[in-house]
Amino acid sequence: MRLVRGLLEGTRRGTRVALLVVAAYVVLAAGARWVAPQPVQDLRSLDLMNSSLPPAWDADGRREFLLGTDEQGRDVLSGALFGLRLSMGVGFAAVALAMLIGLAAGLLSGYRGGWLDAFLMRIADAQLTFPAILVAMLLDGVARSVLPRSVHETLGIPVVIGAIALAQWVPFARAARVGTLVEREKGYVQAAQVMARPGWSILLGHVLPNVLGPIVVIATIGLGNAILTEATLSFLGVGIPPTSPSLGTLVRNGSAYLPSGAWWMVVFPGLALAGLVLAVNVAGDGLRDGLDPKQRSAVS
Amino acid sequence: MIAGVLTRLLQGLGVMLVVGLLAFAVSTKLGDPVNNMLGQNATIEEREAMRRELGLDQPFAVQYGRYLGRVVRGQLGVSYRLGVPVGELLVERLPASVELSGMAMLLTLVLGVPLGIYTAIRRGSLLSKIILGASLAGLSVPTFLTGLLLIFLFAVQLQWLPSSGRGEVVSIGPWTTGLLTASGLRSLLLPAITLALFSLALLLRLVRGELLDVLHSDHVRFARARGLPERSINFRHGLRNALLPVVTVAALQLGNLLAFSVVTETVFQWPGMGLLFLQAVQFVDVPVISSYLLLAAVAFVLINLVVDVSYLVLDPRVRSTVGGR
Repeated sequence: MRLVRGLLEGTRRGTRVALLVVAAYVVLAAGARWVAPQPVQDLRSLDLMNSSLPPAWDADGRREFLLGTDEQGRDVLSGALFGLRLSMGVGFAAVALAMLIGLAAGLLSGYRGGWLDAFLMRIADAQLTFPAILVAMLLDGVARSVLPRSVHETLGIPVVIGAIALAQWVPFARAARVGTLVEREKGYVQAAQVMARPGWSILLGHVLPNVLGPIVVIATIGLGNAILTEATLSFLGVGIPPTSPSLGTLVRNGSAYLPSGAWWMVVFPGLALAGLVLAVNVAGDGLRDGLDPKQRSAVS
Repeated sequence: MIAGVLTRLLQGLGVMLVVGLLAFAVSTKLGDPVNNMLGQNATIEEREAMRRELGLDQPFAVQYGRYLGRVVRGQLGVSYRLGVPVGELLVERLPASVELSGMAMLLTLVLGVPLGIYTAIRRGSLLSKIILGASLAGLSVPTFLTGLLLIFLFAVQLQWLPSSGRGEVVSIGPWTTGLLTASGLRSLLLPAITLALFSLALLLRLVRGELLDVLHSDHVRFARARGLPERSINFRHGLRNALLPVVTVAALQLGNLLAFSVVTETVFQWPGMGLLFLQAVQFVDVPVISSYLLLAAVAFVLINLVVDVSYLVLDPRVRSTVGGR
């Protein structure tokens, strides 16, 4: 709690609004089952008679389908809500995994130093130059050729989460390493060392809580990127199986009907996605400025 | 300084060997080449003969060595999907990708740097705030959505610009270019804007951030105290010191452009290497996947090399620590 209050201190109103918007997205996504007008995951609820209807305010639209329907008669609003749930789930999971890998690597690297430090940081350098999308596509290509089709479909989501995490752990590791290098020299850590506390206990009990500040900011900015990467992969039809459509998949499906003028299938899921990423980015930006006093004075 | 460049070159070579190993592992260990060539019904003797012929009975190191030899001579295997040598495919697709990424990079630099400078110097102005807001939106709207919306607006509704393909191309030797015909240029416009938007927003914000940082540093305050003209402070004292990290990120963005060109080429059905790679992943076309992996690694090693060398040239501090003199 103190961490949260410390982070919010000195942030602008825009940042807090953005955080509220993100929170609203989380609630909507988590409650998709209750909020969505149509249980789109149940294929029996679809009726081809309702296919490709425009939004409700259009002359051809129908009131029960507020944002129109897709070519299979699926309510666009409901589809977007369920897609949001998947997109956010993948995003959060990927960032959490990246944070775990990064923290472990960074803490070890900074605390131990020596060849381990050099080795881990070289890997980090190499990783940084290779974009997440290419990593994910390669992993997916490999998974596709090694695994039988049915296994690949069930493993699709974990593979995407792993690929995004693999591409994002570096900033976490660098921040944790720098923080650890600073904390290691401080009196309380050296006191704990003199008292012969084991290394892992010092790292987790003393060092970790003190390097978390920047980590939270990196996680926020990383979340926006993770959601974008997942959406892009789904749009390309790589990774997430089409049976559980995320926002990117919805845009992909809808894009086939764009030339015939059915814009609502692309625009609404797309806007939901862009709005979410925008809110996350604004929040991350604000939190970073709040942590960095030099930037704060430069902005106000 | 030459020692520094040499070290970087050697490191790059090391990275290439590792990626080569990865590509080799992908191309031989994925799927059974004997099965692919002979089909499921071949006898055991036929398989053994094929294995010997392909050198698959040799130790791993020997196989890897032979693989490297073939790659260096440009023999990258035959695409499973198209039945064409991968080398020919890449040569055919390369110009489209290079022209698209090049145009996007040009847009990014030509617009990103001046806009970044403007928003840093005129920090409070309304135009700056609008530009910054737009750049945040640019970072948040996914590339594929930008592309689709542009297609819907300019190709479907207004019918001003084509929605897909490269238009007419002119061949100059092995190179095909769309830059010399009107329809080629019109076709290039939407994909290039789509691809540039994200990196443009990123570069703009970076230039602004770095310049603001420098403008708050002591030597700029001192220059101001000396009563130097604003122009000289902003450009000679500020910009020069702000540009160093910008060079790095601009170069790293080139790598990102390579990745996102997969998206843009898919949206616009642009006949480049990104589209080729995506189709290869979807059809498990292993020779194409491993060749693209190699090519991407070459590109990234080169990009990093250029960045490091530009550091050595631009920043005397780095020169003294890395060059060892």
